[in-house]
Amino acid sequence: MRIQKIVSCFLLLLFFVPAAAFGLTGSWDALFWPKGEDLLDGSAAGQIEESLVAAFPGRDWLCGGTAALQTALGQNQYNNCFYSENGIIRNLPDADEQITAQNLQALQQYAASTRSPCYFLLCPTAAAIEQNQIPSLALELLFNQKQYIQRCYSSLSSLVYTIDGYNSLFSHQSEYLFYRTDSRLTALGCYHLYVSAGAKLGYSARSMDYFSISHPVHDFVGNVASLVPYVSVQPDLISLFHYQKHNWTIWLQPDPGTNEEKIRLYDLSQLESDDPLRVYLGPDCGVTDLLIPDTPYDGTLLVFTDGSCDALFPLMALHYQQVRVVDLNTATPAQLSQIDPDCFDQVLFAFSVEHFGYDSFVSDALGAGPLS
Amino acid sequence: MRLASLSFLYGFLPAAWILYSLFPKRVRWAALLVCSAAFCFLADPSALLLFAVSATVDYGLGLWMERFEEQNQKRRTIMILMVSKNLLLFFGISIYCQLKGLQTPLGLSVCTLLGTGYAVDIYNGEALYEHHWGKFLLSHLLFMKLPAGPLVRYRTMREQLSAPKIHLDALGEPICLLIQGVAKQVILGTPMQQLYRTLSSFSRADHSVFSLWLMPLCAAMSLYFTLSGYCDMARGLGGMFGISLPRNFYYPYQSRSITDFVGRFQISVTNYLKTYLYHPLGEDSGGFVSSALNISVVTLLWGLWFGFRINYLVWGGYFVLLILLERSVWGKIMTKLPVFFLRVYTFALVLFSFVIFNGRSMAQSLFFFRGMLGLGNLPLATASSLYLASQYAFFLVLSVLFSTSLPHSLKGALKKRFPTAASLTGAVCYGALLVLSTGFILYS
Repeated sequence: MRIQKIVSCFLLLLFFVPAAAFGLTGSWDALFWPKGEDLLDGSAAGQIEESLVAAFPGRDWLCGGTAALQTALGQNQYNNCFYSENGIIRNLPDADEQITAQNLQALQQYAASTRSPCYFLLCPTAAAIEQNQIPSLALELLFNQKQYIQRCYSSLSSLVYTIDGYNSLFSHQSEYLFYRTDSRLTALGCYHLYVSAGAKLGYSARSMDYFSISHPVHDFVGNVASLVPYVSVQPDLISLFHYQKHNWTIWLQPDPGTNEEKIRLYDLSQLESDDPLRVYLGPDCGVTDLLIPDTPYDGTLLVFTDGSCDALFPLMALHYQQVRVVDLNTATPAQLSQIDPDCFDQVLFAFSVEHFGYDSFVSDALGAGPLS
Repeated sequence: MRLASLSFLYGFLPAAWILYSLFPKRVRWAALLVCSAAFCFLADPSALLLFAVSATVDYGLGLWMERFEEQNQKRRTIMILMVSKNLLLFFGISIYCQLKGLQTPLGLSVCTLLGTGYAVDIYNGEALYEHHWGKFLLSHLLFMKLPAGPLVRYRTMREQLSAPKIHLDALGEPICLLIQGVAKQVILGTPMQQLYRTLSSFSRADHSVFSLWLMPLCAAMSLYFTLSGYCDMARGLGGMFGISLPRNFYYPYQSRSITDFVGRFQISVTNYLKTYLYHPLGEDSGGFVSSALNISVVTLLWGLWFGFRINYLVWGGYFVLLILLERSVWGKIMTKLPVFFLRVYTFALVLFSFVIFNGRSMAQSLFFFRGMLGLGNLPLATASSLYLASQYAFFLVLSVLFSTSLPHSLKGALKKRFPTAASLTGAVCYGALLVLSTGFILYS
């Protein structure tokens, strides 16, 4: 009888532990206390639960333990992401055909309306390249990005030259091409794209020996990590490629045409910002010029991108007098309206499948240009 | 508010239990009524109003019926009025919600069917007229049985609500039952549901024979662990508040025949239909045609308990057919067959039934049937279905294991042999299970 009492008390007390923890830590304020209208419209219970989940004592420990247990029991997929200690790879759903068609049409129209030659680089994501890190049985579940890129390329007219990023990345698939915790390309991944783009854009890519590589950040945790919380994945390195052959200084001019001050390439203060990968192109201002005053080259390049391969453009800048990078996700209509592609020798569209197939940002943004 | 939620387990429940314990025994029902009304209000404010009005009308009509003790005609009219009102509410609101794509009010079936049973019971003299409005309302709103039952007859509730007893030394078992229910839902029910949803999102071309067998298995496990989880929680909570509620499932997937399965799956619904429909219709007494008709009516309604869809009706019809075949064709042969064979036979037929149960249309169910039998020109297995199965392999094995009585028998044997050690180890295990379930709720 006494044992039964002990057992009952022990089990009953378990339900009071969180309330006691809230009381001891004085964190009652973190909870949602419903008001009259919340109670009447039936939303109170949901809001209370949400606040309790967010502030639950020992939440990180409990979630971490559950995630570790599920991983130990054989699960390696969560929130449509494959995960292992080597990284998180986000699987993409099938691309939206209508959005793709709209984006392609916008791109095609833009190319038709400018005298400058246009180039299109559609980058695959880690799910297409790092297939050796995905369970072999799961490969069938993956969206076929190679086929998608080929389909996009073949639907464009001869006005747009296409750049094969897929094969150049796939041939180096064992290298550190994608961040473990972010969907974007690493500096090394961008270097391989820089090499393969050179043949089409007409420059001779510098070999790796011309660069010194620094790693100012060793603990970068990127945008995919939040999709698979509580799973332990090794943080990433952020690498910077410094050109050493000539004594050139690459300048960044954020938002050209305004009074923004020029800054040197690789603004390390950006490493402290909410997106450390802004280190490559400086502050988030929509349009950025990369300039080398002492360069012997006189070409100019206009780039429309989506922020997926920012480390690529400082490398390309070595072959031009001016590279203007326009991030279609953040550039304002006013900024876009001031861009005249005919003032540039070449126009490059560099996007990731991750955005191009699912978001109509290309058709939305290019529709605002002066040539539409 | 859901029973397997943090706000209920660590907020509402401790507060309700303290309030209940602080009240003197005589008026504990009032504390329970306040808690139940609060639960219902938090979960669905409009449902509280609906049930309060409905119960009050039933209460009033019951008292009115009592006035006509000698006038059977009037009593019958009042009984029909009460039954019609409750069935109209049940069917009307359910169908309306289904047509409009709305959520059915929490506890609608439990409340209206309790009212229906009360009307029939007092008319037949099988229950006393209730003179206490508060207790009558409480029997309708009792928070632990609102989400998914079990369905209880009013007279059973009445006896318990008049003097609910709680003893500290008897609390262990109900708390274990509550934890078991939560664990069933969040650790086993949810993963099975996730796997089922992923598989059901496959296009026809992506399916294989393996995935088509896996789908009903997941559906069966998900439904069982979700519903029996609710019932365990209700029974556990009932025990914590001094109320004993019946079990709703008795290891249905180890049944030895389809007739046995129907008796073990949603037991309280089966019993309710037997009491208020099968017995008054004359059970088996009127020859084969009559008994077949009675079985058909009861089993079809048993199928419709889950909702008003053509698939649920066909699901009930499927069981009617099998029960009748067992009774009249191969029932005698079955008695001579080994138990293992009978269990496999029943489980296979039950899996087939879940193809009907879960099909979006009858055409889809037919496609699945053909595929399962290897008639759909589908591959035996695809890499994607094998991958998904491998992801959930542990939970699949655990689900199958815990849907049998094996763990319970093992626990019973240990308890018999080492009572003290088993109690203490059991408490620690259940404590760990609660922590694990909390982790699963948080992580999901």
